Amino acid sequence: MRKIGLAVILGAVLGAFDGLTAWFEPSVRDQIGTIVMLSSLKSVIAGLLIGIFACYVKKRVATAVFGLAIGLFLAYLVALQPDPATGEHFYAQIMVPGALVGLIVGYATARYGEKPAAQAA
Amino acid sequence: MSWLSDDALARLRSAASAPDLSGTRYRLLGEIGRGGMSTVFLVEDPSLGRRVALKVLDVPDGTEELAARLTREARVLARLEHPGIAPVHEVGRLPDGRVYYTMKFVEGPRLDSYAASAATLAERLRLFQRIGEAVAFAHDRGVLHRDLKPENVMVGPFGEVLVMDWGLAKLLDSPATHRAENVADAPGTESLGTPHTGHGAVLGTPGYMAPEQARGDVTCLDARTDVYALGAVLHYLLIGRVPAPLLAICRKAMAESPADRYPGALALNAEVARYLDGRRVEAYPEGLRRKSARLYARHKIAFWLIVTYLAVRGSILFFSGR
Repeated sequence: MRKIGLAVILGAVLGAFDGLTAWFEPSVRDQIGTIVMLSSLKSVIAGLLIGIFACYVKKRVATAVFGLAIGLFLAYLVALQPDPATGEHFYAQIMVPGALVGLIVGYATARYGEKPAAQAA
Repeated sequence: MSWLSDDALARLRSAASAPDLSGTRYRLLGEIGRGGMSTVFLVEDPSLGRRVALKVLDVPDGTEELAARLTREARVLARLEHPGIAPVHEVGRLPDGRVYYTMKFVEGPRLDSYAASAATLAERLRLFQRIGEAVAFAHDRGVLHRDLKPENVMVGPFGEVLVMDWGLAKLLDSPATHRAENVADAPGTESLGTPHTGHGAVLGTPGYMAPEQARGDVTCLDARTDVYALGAVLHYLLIGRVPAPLLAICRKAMAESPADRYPGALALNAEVARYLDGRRVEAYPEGLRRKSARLYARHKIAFWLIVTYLAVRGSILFFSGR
């Protein structure tokens, strides 16, 4: 539960931060609320899956790679939706940061989600 | 008339000093080591098909004092059932009246020879922590070792650590054991199997003995006496370029006054664990620069992942805005 909780919280925070960076893109600034919400939701789902994975797989690298893959996949689903105004797809702009957020959540869950040695003993 | 060669004489001496095990179930295989007043032999227990170590007094003891001390040593070991302490199997007497006890035969090098081969500092520190765990367990059972040193620690074939030679052990927990100790520590008594530093109550090994132990101040001995020796063992294990926090830990463990040392082996172990985990070592005050360096070393991967993310995100924003 510790790992799942940590992964979900990290996902929510990093997802929100990732969404907030859209503020620097003037063309989508008016949709910032929706972007932040969807980005957070995506990362919370990713965090949940990463947390469950981390509970069963104790290897740090495996959890980080799983996080990368989940982040990439969920970001791909988001990137499939074209810009309503231009019909353009932003695959790289969405998928690369999404994958990195997944990687960070995966690594951090495995690295910091472990019980301290004193409690584990 | 022909003279015996030195080799033949040595063999004769060895045969003469070999214990008569006819009244026991053991079969002599060889000698393992020799101490001040006792010798440890490798014997086989045919009933269980295993090899064990047999510690026996070198000479029959008319006063029974040494016999009582060897028996007491075995009893001390018997109360210390811990993976880091060699278990005692049996106490008995040989046909010539000498007291012996048998214990687990530990195959492997002593810590002093093993330390040179242990590859990394982290491995040596984890080894040290296992010594500390065994000593902390003994303290919890009211037993002080009083002769901790690399020569008294064995490293088994699977990396297991065993604290040996409890011949100078002191019992702490009851008035009865205190009385027994006062007799054992009286001037003129000998330690069992361990070199002593001279006549009187000063028992231990110079360099590893706490100041209060070196003074022969038996009433002042407590867990912090062994903490001093553990600090000396830790210092021994720090080969090459030693990180400053570890030196600070050694200094605190080996402080002149017991009050300035760690209160016990577990506290010392916890400090070593903090160092291994990249956390702040309490004995080592650190400034902002050192703290930053420590935090960076501890969270290096997370730091670079975040930097990479920010760089990628910044690049995307920069190039999409052009």
